[in-house]
Amino acid sequence: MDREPLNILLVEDNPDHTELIVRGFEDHGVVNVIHHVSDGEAALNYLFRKNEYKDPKNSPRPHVILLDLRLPKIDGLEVLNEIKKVKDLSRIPVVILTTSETERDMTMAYDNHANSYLVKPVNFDKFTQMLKDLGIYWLGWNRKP
Amino acid sequence: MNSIPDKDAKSINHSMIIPWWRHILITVSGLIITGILFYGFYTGNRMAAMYAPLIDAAMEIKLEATTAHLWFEEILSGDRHESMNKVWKHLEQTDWYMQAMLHGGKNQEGNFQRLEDPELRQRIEKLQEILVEFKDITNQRLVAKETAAAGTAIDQRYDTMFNDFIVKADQVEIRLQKVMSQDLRNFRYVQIALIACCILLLLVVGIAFTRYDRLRAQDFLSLQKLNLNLEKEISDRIEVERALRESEARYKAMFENIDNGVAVYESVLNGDDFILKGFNKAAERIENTERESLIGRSVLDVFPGVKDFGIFDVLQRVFTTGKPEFFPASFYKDDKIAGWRENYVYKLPSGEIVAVYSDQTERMQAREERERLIAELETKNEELERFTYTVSHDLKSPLITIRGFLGYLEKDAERGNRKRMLADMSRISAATKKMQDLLDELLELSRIGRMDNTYEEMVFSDLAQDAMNMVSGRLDRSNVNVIITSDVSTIYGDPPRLREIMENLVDNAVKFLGDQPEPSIEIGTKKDDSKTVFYVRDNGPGIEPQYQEKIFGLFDQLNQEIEGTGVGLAIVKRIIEVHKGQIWVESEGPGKGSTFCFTLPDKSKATEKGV
Repeated sequence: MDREPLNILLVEDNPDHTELIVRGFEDHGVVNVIHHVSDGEAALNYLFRKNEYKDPKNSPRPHVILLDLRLPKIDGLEVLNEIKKVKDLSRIPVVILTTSETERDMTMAYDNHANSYLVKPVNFDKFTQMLKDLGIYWLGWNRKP
Repeated sequence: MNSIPDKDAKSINHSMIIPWWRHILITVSGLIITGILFYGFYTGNRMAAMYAPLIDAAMEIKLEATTAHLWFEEILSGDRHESMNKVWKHLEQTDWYMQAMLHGGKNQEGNFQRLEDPELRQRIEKLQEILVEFKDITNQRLVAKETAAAGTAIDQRYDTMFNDFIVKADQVEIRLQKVMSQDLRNFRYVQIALIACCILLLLVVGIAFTRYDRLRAQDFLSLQKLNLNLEKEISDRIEVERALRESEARYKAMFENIDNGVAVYESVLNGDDFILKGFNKAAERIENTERESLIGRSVLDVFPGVKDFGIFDVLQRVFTTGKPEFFPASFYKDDKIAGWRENYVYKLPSGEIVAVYSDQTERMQAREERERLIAELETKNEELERFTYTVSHDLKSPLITIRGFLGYLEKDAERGNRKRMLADMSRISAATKKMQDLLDELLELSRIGRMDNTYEEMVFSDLAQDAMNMVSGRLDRSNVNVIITSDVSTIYGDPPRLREIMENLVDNAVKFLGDQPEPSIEIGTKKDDSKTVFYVRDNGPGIEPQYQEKIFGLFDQLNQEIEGTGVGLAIVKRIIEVHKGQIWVESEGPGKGSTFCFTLPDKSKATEKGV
C-alpha cells in the first residue's frame, strides 16, 4: 500500500449507515481515514474549507468521496454539482452511495458527472462485499490524480 | 327571364298612341274638297247669272233698235199712225241696255252685272256714240220727211247708220260670247286643276291610311309577339317566385331551426353603429330573450357589453373589409347575460352583417374544470411520485440498518464482543421502531385527505389547550414553558385534525428547541390583512431562510440525530392543505427562534366554497 494515508470523505446523514460503512471498511482494512459529515452543507464546508474545516489539517483532500443523495440542508445532487464545478475538486472521484434505485436519481447523478453510482444492498453479505470491492477498486486499482 | 326588347317597346308606344293625325287629315281633306266643290258650284252659278242677262241685253239692244227702226219706217211710210214716242221709247230701251251692260242694272228681264272686259266696254261705248248719232239722224229724217219728200241723202245716211249700228251690236254680241267662252274655258281649267287637287289629296290620304294600316298590322304582330313574351315572362316569373318562396321558406326554416344563434345587423352611420334586424330562435334561447324586444335596436343598446367583449370591432372590420372573421370563444358580460360566445362574422351582398354564434359556456366551463382537474391530478401525481420515492427510500433505510447490524451481531457473537452486541441490538431496535412509526404516520398521512368529518367552529385558545394536554408528558420532560395567549379568535375545521396540527407543531417545537436554557413556546393569533394567522413560536435555534420551504417535505429532516420520522410537518401541511389553508415558517435566522404560522378559511368563506 501507499505510504500516504488514503482518505475517504463519507457524506451520510444516517448514523446507523455511517456505522455500517465505517465498520465494513475497518473489517477489510482497506481504508486509513474516513472523514464523516452528516449533511450537504457540512460536506461543502469540508471541501471548500470553510468554518470548522478552515484548517487544511482538519480537511485533507479525500481520494474518493462517498456521497448519499438524500441529505439534510443541501441535497446530494447539489453537493455533487458544486464539486464538479470547481476544477480542483472535480477530479476527485465521487461515488454515489444511496438507497435510491430510481432511474431518475441515477441519470441525474451521471448528468452531474458522478463517477460511480452504487445502491446500498439490503443483504448484509452483499453490503460488506460491496464495501470491500469499493475500497479495492477506488483506492487500490483506480489511479488517483 | 327575358327582358322586353327595345324594338318592341317602341312598337308599343307607336301603337298605343291614338292616331290624332288621322282626324286632322280627314277633317282637312273634307274641308278642302267641300271648298273646291263649293267654289265650282258658286263660280258656275255666278257665271251663268252674269252672262245670261248680258247676252240677253246684247240681243235686246239689237231687238229694241230694230223695233224702233221698224216703227219709224212704218211711221214714215204712213202705214201706221203711231206716235213717234214709241220709236223714241225703244231707242231709250236700247240705250238702257247698253248702260246696264256698262254699269249694271235691273229690270223685269233680270239682273245685269257690269262688264269688266275693257275691249267690250270700249265697243259698247262706241255703240252708244253711234246710237246718239242714229237718234240724231232719225230726228233729221223725221224733220225732212215733214218738210220734203223722201229718198234723199238723209235716208241713205240713216240706213247706213242703222246698218252700222246693227253690225256693231252684232260685234258686241260676238265679242261677249267670246269673252264668255273664254271665261268658261278658264273656269274649266280651274275646275280640272281643283279636281286634280282633290284626287291628289285623296291619294295622299289613301296612302297615309294604307301605310297606317300596314303599321297597325305590324304593331298588331309585334303586340302579339310581345304578348307571348309577356305571358312567358309572367309564367317564368311565377316559377321564379315560387322557387324563391320555396327557397326562402327553406332558408327561413334553416335560420329558425339551426342550433347556432344567428344575428343579422344593418350598419348605420357608415359602420358607427349596427341595428339588429334578425335574431333566430337559437339566439333567443341562448340569450333567454325574445326578439320582438330587440329587433330594430342598436347592438350597443341590446348588448351593452359588445365593446368590452370585442365583437364590435370585428363587426366594424367585417363591414369595412368585407372579409369574414372568426371570433374565438370569449367571455361576454352585461347586466343580464354572462357567458362564453364563439362567433363567425361575415358580410352579406346586401351589406348586412351576420354573426353566427354559439354558446360555449358549458364547453369553456368544462375545459376550465378539466384543466383544473388535470393540474390537480398532476400535483397529486407528483405528490404520489415523491411519496413512493421517499417511502421506498425511508423504509429501505432502516431495513439496511437492521440487516447490517444483524450481520455484525452474528460476527460479534462469534467474537464474543458482548458490549457491541448490545449496542447493535439497540440500533436494530431503534430502526424497527422508526419503521413502525413511519408506517403509522404514512397511514395517517394517507388518511388525511380521505377523512370526511364534520367541521366545527371553536375558540383557538381552547383548541391549543386541548392539544397541550395531549403532549403534556413530553412537555414536562423537556421542561418547556408553554404560553397560550388567550383571545376570542375562532378556528373552523375538523376538530381532531386541528388538534393534530397543534400537537405536531408543539412536538416539532419541543424537538428543535436545542440546548436553550429557558425553552419556551408561545401559541397565539395575530391579524394580517383581516385574516387570522395562528402561530406557534419557539425560542430555539431558528431555521435559515434557505431551508424554510424544505422542512415541510416528507421525511425531510434538518437533523437526523433528532428523533422523529420527518413526517410530522408533512402531516401538518397536508391537513392545512385539505382545509384550504396555508402554512409557512418565519425565522430571523440562527439563534432567533422560529414561528410556524398558518391560516385557515373562516366559517363563512369555507361554507361559501362548499368545503
